[in-house]
Amino acid sequence: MNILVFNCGSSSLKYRLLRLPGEAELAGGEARRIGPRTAEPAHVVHRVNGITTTHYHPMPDHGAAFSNVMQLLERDGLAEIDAIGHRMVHGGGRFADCALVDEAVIAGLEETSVLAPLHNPPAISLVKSCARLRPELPEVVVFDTAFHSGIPEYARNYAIPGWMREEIGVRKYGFHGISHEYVTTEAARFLGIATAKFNAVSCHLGSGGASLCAVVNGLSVDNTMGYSPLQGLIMSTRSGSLDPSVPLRLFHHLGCNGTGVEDLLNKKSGVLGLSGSSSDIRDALAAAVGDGPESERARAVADAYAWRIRKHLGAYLAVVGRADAVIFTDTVGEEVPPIRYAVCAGMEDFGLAIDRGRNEKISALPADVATDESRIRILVVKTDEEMSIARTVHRFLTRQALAVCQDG
Amino acid sequence: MNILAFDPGRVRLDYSLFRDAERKPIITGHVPEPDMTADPADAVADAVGSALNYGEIGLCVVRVVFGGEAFKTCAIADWLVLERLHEMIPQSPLHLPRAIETVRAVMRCRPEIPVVLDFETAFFAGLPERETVYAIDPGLSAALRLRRYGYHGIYHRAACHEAAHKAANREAPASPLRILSICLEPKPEVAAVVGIRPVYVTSGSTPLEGLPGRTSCGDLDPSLPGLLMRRELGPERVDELLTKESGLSALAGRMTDLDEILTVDDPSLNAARDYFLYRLLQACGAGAAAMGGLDGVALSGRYRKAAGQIREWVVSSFAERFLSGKLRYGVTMLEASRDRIMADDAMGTAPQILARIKDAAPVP
Repeated sequence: MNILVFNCGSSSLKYRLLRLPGEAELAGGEARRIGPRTAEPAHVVHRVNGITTTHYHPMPDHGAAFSNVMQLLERDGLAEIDAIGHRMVHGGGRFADCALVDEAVIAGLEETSVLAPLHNPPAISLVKSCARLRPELPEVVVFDTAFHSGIPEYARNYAIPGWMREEIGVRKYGFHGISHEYVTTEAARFLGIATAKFNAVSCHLGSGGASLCAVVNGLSVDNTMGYSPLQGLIMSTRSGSLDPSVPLRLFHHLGCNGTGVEDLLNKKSGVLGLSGSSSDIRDALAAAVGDGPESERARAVADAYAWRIRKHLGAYLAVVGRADAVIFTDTVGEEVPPIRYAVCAGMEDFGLAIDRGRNEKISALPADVATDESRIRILVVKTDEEMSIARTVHRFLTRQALAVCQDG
Repeated sequence: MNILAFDPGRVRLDYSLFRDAERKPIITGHVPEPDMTADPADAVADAVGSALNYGEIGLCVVRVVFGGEAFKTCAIADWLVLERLHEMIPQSPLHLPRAIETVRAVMRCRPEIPVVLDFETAFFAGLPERETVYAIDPGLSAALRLRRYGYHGIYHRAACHEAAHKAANREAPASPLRILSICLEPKPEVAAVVGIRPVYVTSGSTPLEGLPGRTSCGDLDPSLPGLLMRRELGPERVDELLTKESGLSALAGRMTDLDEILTVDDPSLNAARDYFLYRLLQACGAGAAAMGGLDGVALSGRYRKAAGQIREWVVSSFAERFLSGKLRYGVTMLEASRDRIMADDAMGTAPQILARIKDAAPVP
């Protein structure tokens, strides 16, 4: 089954054509500068057989980007596509699993888009374009929240008045589910444990967002993000958790409306807010070496960043009980050994021991960087959200086909 | 010597009178102050008057919830101390004015009695920066004096002392004890303490952060206050919702407390109990990770029935699943009430008080 996977940004569109179950990549790339004209013209960076080419086309919307991608694939003799998979950030309370696109699903997506006003609308517009331009292709929408739909009520709730839960729908959703699910499966496979019996804490530390996920029997039982992606860890520009009185004091102090504070906490806080210069934790780590107030500040940023992860890791190790593994993934998780070390060092009492040498010298992923004695393995796993989406689509369509056969 | 301890709360002034180190107070009482405009000096004078029936008062001690970074230990009240407290009112607008009024009233009513201020935050004034900092622009944090504290330092410090004392009676520990201190009060709090140094606490720039309280929400997604404000609720109303209409009572759908949710078998309390124990499990895991291990657990606070249940929970649930049962020094339960601890704290300042009297003596 050839599955074309789309990962939609506000002005970009990443795509990969994947053949399952073998998991081979037939083509991939990214359409950039979609939307109103910018200084740089809209273009598609297209990749086939390891050769990358750039194609300039005007792309006023995601539908135009889709058409361009399809033309490139046809040109390369890759027009044989069996299904389209879409990444959707927010599935709200409605989508606990992936969904095959039809009119009712599109209506449901539109209702949900208020929960993710930045992320969902371009993806929904792409879903509609695909349905219009290639109505014969089954489209499956895969949600970042779906992996977390089984989080138990006591972990999903906030201790707030009932009407906020019932009328506004305030609850934890959790995010990064597509990635957490993928690395969980990969880690279990690597250790030779059945996913359905695999317990872990998955640390998705991205260059932008970051969250931890507690995994019991292969399923998410908690995620550090909450109703929105603002809760939890210190991220590149997001503050992570705060005393609930802090936003109120900021409203008062800055004299601005809710949107102003939301912007501040989402776009100008986190590593960027603390360092004042860079949103990348790697810059803080580089600047931390040496003397002087700048280095001291950088050390404090790196210290706070790793400390927050460590606290949540401790919390989730307690939640999971007997964890088989701690998993690190995404840019920072995969590429920044000092953060992994700062998070895991000195945790021998909990059965977790990181090997300094192994942690620093990784030749290939997945890698196990725990000491031989460590009861809990520490794995560095490369995430692959598009492959995760393709797997979900493949599983879903295969099951559907089976069900149709059985009915027949 | 008799020691008179004051706890100036939001709606009433509680007081207890102790004789030396006796565990039980000679008298306890409270002066209701339903009307915040009533003269607090009258309430204090009433309390002092009742106490004087049992002999001279050697010391007064007043509980002060917030002492900022300035007060790292108990302080002996003088006008300078009161001035510094006054400057901190924006950081603790609900509690500090009542505390200052109480101290001032005692000083006016009985100027000869030394008044000791016992700060809840003092124990946490030296928390490491990584634990106090919020990930926002440091300029803003400085302008608003935003940093994290614990607000049950009086209980935590005493409970950790007791745990360390008990451990030392068994064997002299080779390294500083790593203790999780769980304080069971209307706003519960967990602290992780290495030796005498806290390294982790659940509360934040106010007591709102952390574990859910009787009516306070505890941890929340930081986008939610903004969401509520966009629904045309003013900041005062949002604050009221989160501090007075949330927490365990909101989950239960009626007023409840820790003693009830942990000991009464009532299905309507399940949601609140499950939520609390889940948040407590995470706090204990985080605190243990902050210390890199765990030697013992100390319980304190007013909810004694709850403490019995939590002791069971620590041993059978937390230690079992997280530490494979290894908890070398077990669980200590602090029997002393907070006012008794405050009286002890006040007596601990005796050398400083004597030194002051000596210094002051030559002045005519």
